[in-house]
Amino acid sequence: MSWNYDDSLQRIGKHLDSMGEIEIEKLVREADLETLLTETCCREIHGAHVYADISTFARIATESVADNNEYKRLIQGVHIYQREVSRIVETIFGGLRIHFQGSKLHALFYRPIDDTQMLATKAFLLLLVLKDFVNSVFNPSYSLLGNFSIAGGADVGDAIGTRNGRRNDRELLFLGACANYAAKIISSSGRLRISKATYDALPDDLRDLCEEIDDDEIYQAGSVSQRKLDEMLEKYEIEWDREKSQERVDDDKRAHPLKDIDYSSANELIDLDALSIWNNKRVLAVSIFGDITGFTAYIDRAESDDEKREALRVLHAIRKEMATVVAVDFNGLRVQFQGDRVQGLYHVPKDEEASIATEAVEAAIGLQSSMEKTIKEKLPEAEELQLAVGVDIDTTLVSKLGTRAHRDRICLGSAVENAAKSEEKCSGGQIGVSKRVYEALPGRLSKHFSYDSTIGCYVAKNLTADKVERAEKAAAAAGAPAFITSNKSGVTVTEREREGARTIIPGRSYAED
Amino acid sequence: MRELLYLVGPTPKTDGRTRWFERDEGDERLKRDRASIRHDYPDLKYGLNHRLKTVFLDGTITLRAECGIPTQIKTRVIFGDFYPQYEPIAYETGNMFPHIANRHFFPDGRCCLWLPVETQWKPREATALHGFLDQISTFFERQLIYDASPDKRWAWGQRGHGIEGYIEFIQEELGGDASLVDNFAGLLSGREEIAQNSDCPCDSGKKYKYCHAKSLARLIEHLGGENPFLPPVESSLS
Repeated sequence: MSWNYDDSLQRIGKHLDSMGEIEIEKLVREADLETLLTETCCREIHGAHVYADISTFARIATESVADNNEYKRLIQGVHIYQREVSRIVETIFGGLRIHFQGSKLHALFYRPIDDTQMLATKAFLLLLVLKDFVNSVFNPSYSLLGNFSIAGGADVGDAIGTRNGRRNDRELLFLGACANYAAKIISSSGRLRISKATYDALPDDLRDLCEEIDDDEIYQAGSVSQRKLDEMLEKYEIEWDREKSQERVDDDKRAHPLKDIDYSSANELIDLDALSIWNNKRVLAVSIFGDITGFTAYIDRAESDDEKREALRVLHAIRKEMATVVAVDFNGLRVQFQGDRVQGLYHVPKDEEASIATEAVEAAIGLQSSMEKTIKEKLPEAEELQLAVGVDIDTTLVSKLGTRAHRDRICLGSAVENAAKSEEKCSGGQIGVSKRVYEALPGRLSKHFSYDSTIGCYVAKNLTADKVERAEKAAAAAGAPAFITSNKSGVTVTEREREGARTIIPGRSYAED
Repeated sequence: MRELLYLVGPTPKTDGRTRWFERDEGDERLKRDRASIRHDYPDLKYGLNHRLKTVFLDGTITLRAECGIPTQIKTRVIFGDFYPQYEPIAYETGNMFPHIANRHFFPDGRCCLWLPVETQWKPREATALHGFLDQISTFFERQLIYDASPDKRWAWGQRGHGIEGYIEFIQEELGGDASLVDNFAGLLSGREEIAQNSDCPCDSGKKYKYCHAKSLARLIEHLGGENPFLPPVESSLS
């Protein structure tokens, strides 16, 4: 599998030609965003974005021993957790469960329209309820798995809602600072954090439950007793009842018994949409995340409608190209779009660590090549944008879990978490790979990476397919022939013989003192 | 011939002298060169600097990696008064690479393609210019390879700077190590002579006439004025 400049250029052009005119309007009345939003029908949505994560799921997914009930229990636990959290978000709070990014929930409150105080209130109370749910319902139900804690973040503001265009795996995408910031402020210490904008919008009695934690204008929830939480829920007319939550979890456990949950390895590329609670995969896999650095600032800076339309056109072009590089140019799975970032997975050939790592890193280089060489040629307005890529390898749970209407493609494992973290730490133009990936690479690739102690992984900067190819030619010896072919688009010089090539012995370059 | 060229600078007053491209054989050569490179180097166009009365090629050489990524390199090739007997001179005019000796450039962007005594220029060949442009393309490709390789390697070999490059060349021609060059230094400079039946200075134990005599004679002839062992020519001006 490989990346090719002409193919990339051609498909980007084709996508742009077929994209149609993008329409962006402010969302002024309540609507079902799942049906309203498309690639070209976009809305500016004032809302509160919430992220909540139990990162321990990932560690267990990697460390659990196969052929053990613990693994099935984990699958069951994640499935039931996602189902109940989805119910809490949608049925009890009236919010929109955008998706789960592995174990991380992304939810949005946008109703009542433009009522910032109520949106912030719902976001904050949701975080408190989820924490209570994990402590009082989920942990007792899954004590054999461990004692989980939830970390969360919320921010309120404007974001543009859109959707990717594929018929069978359409996903909602939200672009804007608040959609990013809510995820960014999540701490690893299991705290619930909110932005200053969210804090400022809260009514006084909820503000009193928060404390400012540092100079970054982030606030976090203090210790809130169950009695206090119930009091606040009643006051703000949120009807969550932990006993009913417990009943639903118990019902779900009975409906999804461990004996019926199956997991296996995969010899061929996984069909993600064929997966379910009953059919899961446990594979050695490379996770890869590619993120458009600077895109949030780029879209937030867009003021006129034309500028916003242009930014969305750029996003959709990059997004689709990234997905094509991951899944078509290279033998991988496009797992999910997460705003302006794409998640991919490489797991074949089965258990062949070096081959899988090489394919994934070649794909990372392909992503950088598309971004730097073809996207920017087709879309000069994307000049300031770059791509940051993170890559790691380990045992990963791959499934499609959740409620019937909203099942998400799920990849759980330490490598997923680490790849995401590496990507977040990398700057635009960088590819960050873990030590394990680095050591699995052939020399022709690993020589482009060096350890970066500030990022904590091996990093290559501005590495595109032409550079990898050229670095391989550096070994051409004095007196060896060079092979030259020409066509209307240029001259190609190689050290390997090619059909129809002219042969020369390159002169040994010299310089006078 | 003139319709082949575009003009640069004001039309000069003729001094009555003719340049290579103004003679019949030069006109023919120019037509032949133009035809030979048209297909493979379409973005290099002929021009005439009227002030200097110099013909040149100007434009870009596009190098495509095998994955298809193109890199455009601004190039100028100047054809001097003694073309085609003497090779043209190539310049990188876009400042894409550092114009320093370690990258085989003069400060003005002139490409140091090879030691003069190792020139790949084949003036009598019909496709000499095409071959020369292939060498320039390879030279630029090596610049890109150098930039892309983490250990900064110069593909397809290079010569040491200045006199070192000549010494390397002589050493290779004589077929031995560095000490061999020292042994032949006196003969190379012309300060010493050796009888054909003497032992060869290479310490092979053979007679000179059966060992290095012929190759050294060929080498001295080939080096000509580029022989680094010749004493510097003193200026006739005092």
